[in-house]
Amino acid sequence: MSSSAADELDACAVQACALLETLQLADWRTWLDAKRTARSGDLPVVVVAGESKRGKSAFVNALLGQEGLSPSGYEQITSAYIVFGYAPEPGAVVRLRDGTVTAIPLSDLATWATEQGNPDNERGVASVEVGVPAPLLRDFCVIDTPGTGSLHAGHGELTLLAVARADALLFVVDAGSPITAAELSFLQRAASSVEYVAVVLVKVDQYSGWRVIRRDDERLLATAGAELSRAAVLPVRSTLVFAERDEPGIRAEAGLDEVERFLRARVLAMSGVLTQANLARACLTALDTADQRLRAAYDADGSAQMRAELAAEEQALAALASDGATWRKRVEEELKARHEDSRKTIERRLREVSEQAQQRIQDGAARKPDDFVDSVTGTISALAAELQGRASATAAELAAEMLTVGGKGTTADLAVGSDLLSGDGWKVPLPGERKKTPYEHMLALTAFSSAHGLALLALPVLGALLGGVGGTIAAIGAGAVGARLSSKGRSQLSRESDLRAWLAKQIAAASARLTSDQQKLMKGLYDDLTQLGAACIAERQAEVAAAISEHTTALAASEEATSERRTQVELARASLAELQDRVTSVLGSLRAAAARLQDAPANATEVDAG
Amino acid sequence: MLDLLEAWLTEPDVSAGSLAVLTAMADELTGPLRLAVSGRIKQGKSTLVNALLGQRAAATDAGECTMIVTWFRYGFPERARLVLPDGEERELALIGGVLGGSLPLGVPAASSAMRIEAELSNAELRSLTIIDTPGFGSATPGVSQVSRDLLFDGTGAALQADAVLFVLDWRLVAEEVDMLAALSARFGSEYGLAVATLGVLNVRDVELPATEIEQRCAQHHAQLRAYLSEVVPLAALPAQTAGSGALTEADALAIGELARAPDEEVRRLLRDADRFRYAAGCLQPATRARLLDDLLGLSGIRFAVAAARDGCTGAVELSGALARQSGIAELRASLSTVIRANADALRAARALRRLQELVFQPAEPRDAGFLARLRDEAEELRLSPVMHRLDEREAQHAVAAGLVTLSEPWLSDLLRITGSGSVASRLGGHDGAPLRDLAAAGAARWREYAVSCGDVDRERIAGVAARSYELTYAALAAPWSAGTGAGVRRPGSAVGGPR
Repeated sequence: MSSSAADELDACAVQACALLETLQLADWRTWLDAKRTARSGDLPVVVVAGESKRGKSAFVNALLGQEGLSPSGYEQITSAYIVFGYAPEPGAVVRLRDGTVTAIPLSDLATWATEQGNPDNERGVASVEVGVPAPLLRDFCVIDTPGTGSLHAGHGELTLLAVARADALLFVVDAGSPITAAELSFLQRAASSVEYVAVVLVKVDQYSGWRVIRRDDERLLATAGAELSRAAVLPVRSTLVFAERDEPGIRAEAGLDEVERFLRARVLAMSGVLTQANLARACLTALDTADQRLRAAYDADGSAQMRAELAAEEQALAALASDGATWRKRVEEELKARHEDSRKTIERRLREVSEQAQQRIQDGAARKPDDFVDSVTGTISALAAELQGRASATAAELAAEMLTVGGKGTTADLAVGSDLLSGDGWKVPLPGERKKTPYEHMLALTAFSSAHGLALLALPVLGALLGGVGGTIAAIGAGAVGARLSSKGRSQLSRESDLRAWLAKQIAAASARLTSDQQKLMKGLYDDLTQLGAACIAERQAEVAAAISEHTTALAASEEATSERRTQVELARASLAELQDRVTSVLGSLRAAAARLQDAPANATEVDAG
Repeated sequence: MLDLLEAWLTEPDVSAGSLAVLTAMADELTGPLRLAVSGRIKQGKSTLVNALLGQRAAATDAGECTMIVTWFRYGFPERARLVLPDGEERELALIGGVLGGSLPLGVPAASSAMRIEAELSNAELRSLTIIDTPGFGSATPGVSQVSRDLLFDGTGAALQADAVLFVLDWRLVAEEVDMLAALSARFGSEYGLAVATLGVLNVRDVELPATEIEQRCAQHHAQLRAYLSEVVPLAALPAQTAGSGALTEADALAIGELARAPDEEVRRLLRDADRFRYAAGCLQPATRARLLDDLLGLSGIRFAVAAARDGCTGAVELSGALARQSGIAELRASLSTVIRANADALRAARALRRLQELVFQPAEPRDAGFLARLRDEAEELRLSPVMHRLDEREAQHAVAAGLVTLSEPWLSDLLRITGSGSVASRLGGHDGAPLRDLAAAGAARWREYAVSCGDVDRERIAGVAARSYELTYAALAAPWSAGTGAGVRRPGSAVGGPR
């Protein structure tokens, strides 16, 4: 792992932090910064496991170059690890389960950390931390665990927990016999949670046939799964180190240099690579988040909504145009039907009047011709008034319908409605002096409609409301009432036959008059209503057109702003992408380094050594 | 028992299969005691066999032959045969009385269905047939099927033996406990295996202090006390070398040369096996390799050099020193007291196991009636005085190993009545007291204790003790023992040894 890659990665991480800061991703910045600064903190952890007694402790002592350090020949207590770290002066610290921490001289280690000195851990030791000036401990933290396998399954569980936190496992086996099934099963379980496993073959100094055992062990490991097949088997002669402490090259002969080389060349290098790779991945994750934020900013402009509204408005405008034609046709049909109704009503009612009058003539109405005439003309007047009332009701109905027409079911209408309800929507400007919101129109109309049973009373209101239509109705109303007889001809109606003739004449006249009035009324209504409809639609069209033009302007402005912002986002994203590329390339080189370390044959160094 | 078998053999209505088994049993009962050597792979089983034989007969390397059960019997002329699964036999080369490590060509791969029959004119084999079993517990996943086969046959072979030597390493592994438990379960009575089995701790470092070795033996026995009567140490390689006379005068001269070399140089050389093998210095490389691999091992060489410095010169003296240090004499002594002393009972127990297997096998219809009778007679046999000796041994073992606790005075009482010695001393007799009364009182005492002790294990032991008193009473009542009573021999002690 070259230092340039590390520097490059560090520079990238700093830049990424700055970028996250500007994007207001403070949490992410803190997270990445912590990753960046913490990476050189913890040392890689090496766990030493295996059968206790003799072999393992002697190996730990030899590895650390400290005679009598780990209590040899005793059974380590089963409930605590011994953690070895670097210290300029040898010393140890015992942590008890109750939280007490006691410093002890190294010579007292056995009284705390062995079954003999501390049976069943009656002193309640949680962990023992030992500091010694061993060069290896500057780069590694070494954990000595209680014995595994054998008959004590419980030891193995505790050790597996330690292994799970470790970067490397040194598993100590005896050169006297091949790895046992229990040891192999422990190794298999451990290998799934630790990156590097090496089997340390101890006491090879005492067993002349250790090479056969090593071959057996390698064969067993090779068949015990992919993780274990790469495990190196390192022969070690622990006792030589202390017997010939000052001999040059004794650590090499004892196989300890090989163990250190394994730890440094593989574990330390890999640990560095893994930490760097971890930082690189953290960088990429943070940058991804930043990119998402930027992308959201790029997409987040109001124009889209505005465009949608505009499209709806244009659609509404088109709908209004077709609504005009539909409306006219409806008015025509409606009025034709009403006219037909009225005509029939006039005929029927006049027939009734005529029959009643005939009866009265027969009953001797000629004796009081004035009363008779008054009664007939009164009835006809009432009929005229009734018909007029009906016409105005029809007019009101159609006009009311008109006001809701021209947008019924269109999106614009709905939009307007919802805006109205929400209270702060656009005010649609109406032409004329009195600018009313459609809401006000609707309110007025509702008030009128509920009262339109009193047709005549409501006429002036309707007139005021509808403008031109009211004039026509008022004129017709006046005309219809003018059917009263003049007193001039009354004396001539003294005879029954005269009365009959007069009645026939009056009925015929009334029929003609009323029918023509109705015709006029309907014609007038038709003109007024179609005019009103056209006006209404035009008005709405004007409104919508105004809104369209207003929105078009706003949209243009918004689009301009968006494109400006997008340019900036593009720039930010470009620099982010460049950063991503750099981190990815660092990660690629880290991966290659890791692969080289992984694929290096287990005994590469041995081959080098000849 | 032999009489019974002979009676059965004349039965007219017995199928050929059953007859063959009965014939074999009759032969076995009269033959030498069968001793199986069992244990994990590469723990030195074959080396132990050689040490016992005093001759290098068994292959000790990792060849195929160590994966096949090998029977060493007395025979002349010496020869060895491979018995194939179908019963076919192949002669095996036996060069100078040593079996080769590999199988002849054209033979199927080693399997549990094969066995090697080696007949050697070795005096030890006159009274002892030794069965060298394949090691169990190979961790190799690839050969697990073969291993299981071998394990099964390892068990099977041990079951065909009257007694077992179980070889242990410095450390114990769970598989050994499992293996012994499996074996024990098929060994008839609860402590049947324990009274027939001796643990042998193969000490690879002959220089270890005796106390450390004793301590380790005691630890192993504490772990395995339900299966082993005791655990004794043996440095198998030096024992083999010393016993087989493999150490030549030339070897002794080489040791002497080392002893005369400067102390520091020799100490350096002997600190590491590879150094001794490869480092420049005295002795030819071939000599060094022979001393290291074939004869002594590193610690053995160190011991021999020290012995030579102390004035041990010549092959005979060195071999003697090695033999003394190896503990082979102590092992033989234990073998005598634990195994050979009870040979009759152990043999009978094995015949009974065999018989029971036969009885409970699905029988041919024509055998049904015969087998039912056989079953009854087997039960009868189980209760015979000869078999009771084994019950006594089991009871002794149970209390001695702490598997069952008895309070005083019951413990002393049990050890006295089941122990060795004159009838009077076993009954705790003193001047004047009639021995028959003492025996009757003892039986009554124990019967009552059996009822009142309220513990299954103690009840069983009480039953054994009561029966010991009853059998003694019966012996005293027999006309041929009327008189002094002190001269009555223990039943089953026909094959004597030092007690």
